[in-house]
Amino acid sequence: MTDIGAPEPLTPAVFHILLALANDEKHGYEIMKAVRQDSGGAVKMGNGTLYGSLKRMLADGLIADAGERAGSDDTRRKYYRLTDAGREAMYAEIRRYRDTLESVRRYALLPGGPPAEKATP
Amino acid sequence: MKNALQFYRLLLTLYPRAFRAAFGAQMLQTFLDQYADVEASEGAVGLAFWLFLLADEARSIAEQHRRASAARLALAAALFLPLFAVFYAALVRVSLALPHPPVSGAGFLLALAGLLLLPGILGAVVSYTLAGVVTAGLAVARGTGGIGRA
Repeated sequence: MTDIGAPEPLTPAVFHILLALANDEKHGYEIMKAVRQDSGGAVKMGNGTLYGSLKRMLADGLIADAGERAGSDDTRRKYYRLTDAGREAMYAEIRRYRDTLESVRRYALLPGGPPAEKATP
Repeated sequence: MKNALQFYRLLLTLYPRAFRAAFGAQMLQTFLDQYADVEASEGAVGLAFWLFLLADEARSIAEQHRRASAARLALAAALFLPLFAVFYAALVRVSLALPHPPVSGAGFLLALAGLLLLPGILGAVVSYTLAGVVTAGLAVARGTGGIGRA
C-alpha cells in the first residue's frame, strides 16, 4: 500500500550525495569521490550529473551552500552541507531501504543466505 | 592539461547561461581536480575518461536546456495574460484618441483583428523576454557562484 504522507523516493544520485554530506561539508570533487566509494563504484557520477543534482537539491532545500574555503593547494572551492530537510529525506530513504531489506530477509532472498524456507507474507 | 581545460571550457558554453553562471566555475574546478587525480593515479588520461565525460555532459546539457525552457515557458505563460490586457487597453485608448474614418463590415473585423493581434505579439515577446531575465536571475541567485583559481 502506498503511504500518502511519505516523501517521494530519492534518485540514487541524490541519495548518495546526501550520504556523502551526512558527516561533514564537502566540495564538488570530494562529493564525487565519496559517492563512487560509498556505492562501491556502482554510482559513477560525472560533473554534469553532479552539478545538475546539486542545483535541484539546493532548490529543494536538501543542501545548502557552506561557503568557500582554500584547500591544501591554495585553491578556493565551494563547500556544501546537509540541511535538516536533507537529513530527514536521507533518513526517510534509509528507512525505505531497511523496510525493503526486512522483506527480502523475510522471504530469505538474500544472496548467499540460507535456502528459502516458507515465506511468510 | 591546458588543452583539456580549454576543451572543457568550450563544453561549458553549451549549458544554459544561468546554469553556467551559477555552476560553471565550480564545474571547471571539479574537472581540474578530477583530471589531475586521474593523471596522477594512472599516468595519463585515457579514452575511457573522455567518453564517460562526454556522455555525462551531453545528457546533462540536454537536461538543463529542457528544464530552463520549461521554467521559462511556464513563467511566460503566467505573465502573458496581464501583459496582453495592459497592451490591449493601451492600444484601444490610443486608437480611439487618434482621428479615424468610420469603419464597418470587413474593415471593422480587420481593425478588431489588428487590435487583438498586435497586443498578442507584443505580450508574447515581452513575457518571454521577462521570463528569461527572471529565471536566469533566480538560477544565479540559487547557485551563488564562482570559485577557484581556474
